[in-house]
Amino acid sequence: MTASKASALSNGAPLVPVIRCEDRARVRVERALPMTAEVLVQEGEQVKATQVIARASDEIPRRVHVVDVAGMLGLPTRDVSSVMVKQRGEQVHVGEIIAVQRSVLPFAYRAYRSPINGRLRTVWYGWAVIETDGVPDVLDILAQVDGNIVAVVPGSHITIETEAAYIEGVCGIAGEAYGVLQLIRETSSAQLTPEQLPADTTDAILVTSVSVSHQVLEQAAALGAKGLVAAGISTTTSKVAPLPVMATEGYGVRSMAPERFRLFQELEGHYATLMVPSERVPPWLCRRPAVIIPQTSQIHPENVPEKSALLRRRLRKGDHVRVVRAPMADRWGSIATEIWDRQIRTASGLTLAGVEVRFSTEVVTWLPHLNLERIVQTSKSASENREE
Amino acid sequence: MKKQSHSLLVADIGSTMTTVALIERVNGRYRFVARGESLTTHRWPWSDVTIGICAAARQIEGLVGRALLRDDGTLIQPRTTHGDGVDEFVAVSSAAPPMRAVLVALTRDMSSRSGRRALAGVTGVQLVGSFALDDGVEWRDPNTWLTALRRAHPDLVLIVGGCDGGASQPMLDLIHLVALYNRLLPPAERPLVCYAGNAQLGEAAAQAFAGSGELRVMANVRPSPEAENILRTAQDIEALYRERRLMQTPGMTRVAEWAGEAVVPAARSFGQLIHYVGERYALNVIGLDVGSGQTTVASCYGRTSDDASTPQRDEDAMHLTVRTDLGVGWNAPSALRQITPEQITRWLPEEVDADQMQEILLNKSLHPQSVPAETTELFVEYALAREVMRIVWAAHREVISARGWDLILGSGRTLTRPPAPGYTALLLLDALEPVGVTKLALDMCNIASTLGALAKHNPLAAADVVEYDAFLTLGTLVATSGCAAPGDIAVRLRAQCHGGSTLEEAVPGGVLRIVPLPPYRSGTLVLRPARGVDVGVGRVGTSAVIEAEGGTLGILVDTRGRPLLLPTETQARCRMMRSWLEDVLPKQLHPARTQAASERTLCAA
Repeated sequence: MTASKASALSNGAPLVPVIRCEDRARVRVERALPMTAEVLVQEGEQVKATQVIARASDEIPRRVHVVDVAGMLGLPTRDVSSVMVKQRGEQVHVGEIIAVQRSVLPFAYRAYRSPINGRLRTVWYGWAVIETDGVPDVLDILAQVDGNIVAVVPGSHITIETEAAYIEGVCGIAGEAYGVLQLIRETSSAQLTPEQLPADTTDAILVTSVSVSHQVLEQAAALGAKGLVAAGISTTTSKVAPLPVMATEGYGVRSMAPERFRLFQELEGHYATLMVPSERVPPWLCRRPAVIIPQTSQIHPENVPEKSALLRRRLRKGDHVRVVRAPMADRWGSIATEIWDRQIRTASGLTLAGVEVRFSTEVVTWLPHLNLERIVQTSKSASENREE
Repeated sequence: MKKQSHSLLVADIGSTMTTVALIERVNGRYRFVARGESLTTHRWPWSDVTIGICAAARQIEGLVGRALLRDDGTLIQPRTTHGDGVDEFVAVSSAAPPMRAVLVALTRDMSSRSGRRALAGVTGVQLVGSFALDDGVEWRDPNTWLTALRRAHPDLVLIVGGCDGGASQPMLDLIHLVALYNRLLPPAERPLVCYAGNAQLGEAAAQAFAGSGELRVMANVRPSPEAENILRTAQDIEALYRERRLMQTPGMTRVAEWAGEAVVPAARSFGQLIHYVGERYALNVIGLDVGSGQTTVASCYGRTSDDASTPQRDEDAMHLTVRTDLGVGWNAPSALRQITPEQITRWLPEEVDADQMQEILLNKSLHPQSVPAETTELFVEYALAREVMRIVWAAHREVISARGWDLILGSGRTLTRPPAPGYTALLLLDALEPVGVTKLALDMCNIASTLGALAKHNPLAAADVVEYDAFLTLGTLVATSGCAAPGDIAVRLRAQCHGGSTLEEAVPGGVLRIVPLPPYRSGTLVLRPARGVDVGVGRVGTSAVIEAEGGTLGILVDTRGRPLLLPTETQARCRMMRSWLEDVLPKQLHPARTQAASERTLCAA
């Protein structure tokens, strides 16, 4: 292969992370199934977000209390089964005899009484295991979004496809919420206060263009909101919150990009799903938190561009980008040139490859490409985001 | 006979960035030729690490003007007659998350200690709990065990205890407790259990786990009270990590096909490099690799100690500590849970409140590839890096004996991409607090983690790259211990460059001084410490004559004393940090610096 061909292959454009902010997209949600789950839907079926699509019966870790019957009665572990008077599955109550060790004399016996209410789950190695919590016997798996079932793989997953607006955030507090999008507009300050929350937020997913504190989240939950989308969340609420929360920009006092807030405004009143995935999965399975708003208008699937190549491609001139670090954090702009290897020096003194970014205010500046992420949009800029 | 390779491609697939380097035979020696860097692409939407490797390799194509990949993104291998492609490919990775491990032991003093030592050197394992039967009376209750295991939520449980042929009943109880924990979980959530205790109970353990999840029986870590056998168990557990995590990373199977063998954990390869450098050059070496998701310290005693009456075993010569829960990028939240805000802010040269500091670090964890473009953010990231290194170094020191170090090698983007090399030197000094005379070097090409694995494929290539290209020498550090009051003279030095001029300087206590000595130059340094000050010879007030090597910094004299004492008052502490920064940074970065480096240059470059 000649040098010219190698050069043609190597245009030097970098890969940068992508963030989706689309008013119209083909969205696929994959619901993982436990091995033994019973599938309740079929391919081609229309489902609602809160519909149970699969049910598992023995996949729920329960709270248990273990009693050392062998130790208490001084028996070899293998003999314990023969002295049990309660059998597997039977209810036991505090003070109730669960095992008796008899001797040749009818009045000389040793009994072991249950220290706890519950249900005898098993007897093993001299231990009696009593289930103590009243969790339901089944685990219901919901569809999460309104859409069509496009794949069912028992023991693995069910895939639901929908045509929807898809707006990703960057962090949040894990959980799922279903409700109607409701915007909070009266926000002159950088942070929302509990008083600024609307009185009627029942079953709503609230959206604010500023940051929220833990008090706001507690108040929103108390008012009946199902979830909340904000520009930023406090570092102190980074793990625990009374309702699922998604931040579109990050931690601290932030301001939502006007383009993103406008999209939320257009979709206000629509039924939406807020999904903030748990971090306890390998990074390659972990997705960004997102709000999915299924579209009621009919869109033919062939009109919705296939996304994989669009999402995976490298940066190029005209791409919309978001700045992720100071000094221009959260601002949206577009790539102004195709020069990818120009070395720039930042205010911190670091020297590294930069790209030229044009902002809406006609400000053009060079920024490290490592501090950018590409915005994938389909609405007004679909033509600009065509596949390679 | 195997054909000699002309061209090699090495890849380090990190949790955030992928670095690819081309090494080629030039004039009879292997030399580093070019490097490319890209995002690691194991996450959505790419879900294939080879995409990141290809993007980095394409950068190299642009630099060297020939193709390494086909149009479809596959590697051209072996090298064609036109010169395209490479002969060998070597890959290491730290992209996979660690396995959360719990250690279940019979006794805290014996078996637990051996188990911890076995796990400490395993790459890809994060110890999230360690429980022993003699931890307290409450540990006789099975419910205490189940609660502890449930909270730890492990991926792997290591059961250790009992010498071969020793205690059996308590060990059987332990085995059945873990088996019961497994039985109570849904099959998909059961951790893998490794048994490395009393060898005679291996069969009983297998019976206990029949229908209770997967059990691997390994060699006893403590076969007798006097003997430890941790290396074999550590290797077995690391093999599990490779099989269950590393090779599960999307695209890694294809990478292994290109390499012709399994991908090596990056920390293991880094440890092998440090071992090689220590043995090859007969040096006591410390290597620090500060990454986005994990931090590694490796050390090797390559210099024969004066009282070495018996030859060292390999496991004594090289030590590796990997902390997969401490990183400066995506793992910053985990680091923040282990480090107080005050510990971080004490290293800042300007006042930053704890909330702002946490926001900067948590936002960095959301975009771990990003770089600090403002000085406050840079200072905060470096402050976290100091504390992360201090924790890992403290853990490492528990398993090594205190000795003098000849070389400190820094690796990882945080250390190797500073605005000025003085930053890295200061980070290493603040984290390790070395004493005496030590050389400082940086892995400027970011390929150190690949060289250990490369040495297995092509020892000559690894040796040549280490010899000529891999490291940038910052210079020679002279760090004093003992008391010299700030302002009083701590050490008088006379530096004579070979074939150059002579410079004399009296360095007061509590400062850092740079005597410029350019790279590839050396000189003789005569050190005359004040009374109460030790320059690393082991006796206070004793003079020393040393051979110093130059570097991008030169000779760095640190008279701040050990341990470092920082003022408790915020403004005084910030002033002190600023003054230390000004001591090691070029004038243009800190105008307050009064003495122009050019006036004091010892030798012309």
